[in-house]
Amino acid sequence: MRDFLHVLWAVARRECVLTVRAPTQWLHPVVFFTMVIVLFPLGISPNQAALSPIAVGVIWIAALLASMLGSERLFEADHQSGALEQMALSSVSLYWVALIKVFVHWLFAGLPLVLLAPLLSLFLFLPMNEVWVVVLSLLLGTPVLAFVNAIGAAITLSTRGGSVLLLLICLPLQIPIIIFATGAVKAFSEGLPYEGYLAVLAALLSLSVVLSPVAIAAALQVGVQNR
Amino acid sequence: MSFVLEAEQLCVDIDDHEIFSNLSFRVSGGQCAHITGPNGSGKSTLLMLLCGLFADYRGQYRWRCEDETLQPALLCERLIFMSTKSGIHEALSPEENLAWYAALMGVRLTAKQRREALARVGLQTGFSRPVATLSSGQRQRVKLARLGIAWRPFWLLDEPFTALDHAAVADLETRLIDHAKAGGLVLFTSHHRLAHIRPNVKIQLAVGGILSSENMDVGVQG
Repeated sequence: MRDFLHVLWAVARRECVLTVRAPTQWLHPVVFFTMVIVLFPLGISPNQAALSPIAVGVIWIAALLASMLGSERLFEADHQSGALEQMALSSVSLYWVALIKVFVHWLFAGLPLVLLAPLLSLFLFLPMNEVWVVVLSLLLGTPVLAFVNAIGAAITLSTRGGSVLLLLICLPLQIPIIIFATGAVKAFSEGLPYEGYLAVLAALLSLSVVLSPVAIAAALQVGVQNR
Repeated sequence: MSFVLEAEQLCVDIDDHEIFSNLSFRVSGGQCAHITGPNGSGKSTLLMLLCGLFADYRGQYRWRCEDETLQPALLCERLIFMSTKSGIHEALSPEENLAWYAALMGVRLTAKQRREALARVGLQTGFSRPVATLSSGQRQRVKLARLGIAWRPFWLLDEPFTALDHAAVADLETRLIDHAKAGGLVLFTSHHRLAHIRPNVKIQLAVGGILSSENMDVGVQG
């Protein structure tokens, strides 16, 4: 058990060190997210009547697109350098490796979006009392986006020009998340019960944490074989 | 402990194109096997297949230890596989790469042990510089440093002599011989003319599937 944790720790630490040393990879989604939201008031019109109704939608669409940036390269470096082969040959299954890699990726590229959302919602005149529901929905929803993107990244690993394929695979799977997330905020603003929407998001999150590494690991195994 | 690798009638097709077929050979502990063949004849594929990373094959192979067939999970704990890919990350230093690799092998190394393993392959300085700043020969040495982390009976090395200078090639040859003498089993591919190693088994692959395996039945010579 201690050896098992030692390996997981080593994989996690390596991921963190590599992410810190290549800041563009995780700064890109954060900057993109910020830019899109800041450009909306400039592009439409900076008044409350126009922006307030679309605020939640804009934040979520920006988060969804931002989460796709860079995710196609999630396993690419390890695949090309052969590190993936070595991890496949270690005593720890690729399931755990995938889980850790996606989690670390979300920590750097997803969590900042959640933390920036309250600040950026000011640009869009999001009512103050709705901010915490948006943040909660992002907190539950963005990890699911990261896991779905990782499945796509693993499947398209050994294809050339897989980023279009990645979009086609991932976007349909991400539609339910955006529906339930924005639904929660709408229900809250209308004084309707909103807990159900968040519960569905939480259920999707639990499912994706447990099950998506199975798909990712299987796809990575195939990727290792197709050099 | 006695180790044996047996392959029977191995066939691999990639995209309906036959890479090799009916390949049978036997290598036992204390022996070196040299896999030769022109580019594209399936040397790397064969090594990947033998360590369980390549699933599309027909035929059988068995790794045995004391007459017991090793299951894949146990095999992982017994082998070191070095593919032509580096397996090292350019943004990490040699020391960090080695620490990560040791952890994957289930070994904890102190800083001193890491430096010793690197010094043994001739990397005396630059432990903490990113690998990206090293020359290709030095990267190859970082790769080879993993051989010194812990004793594993099975070594599967794909082109281990690439980019090494003459002294390092001679040194590595001695190392392979020593490993075989200690009871280990070495399989390697190489296009180099070997100065010291007399492989016990030669596995000859050819484009188009003509091949032979020859058991030389001589001791590994130093």
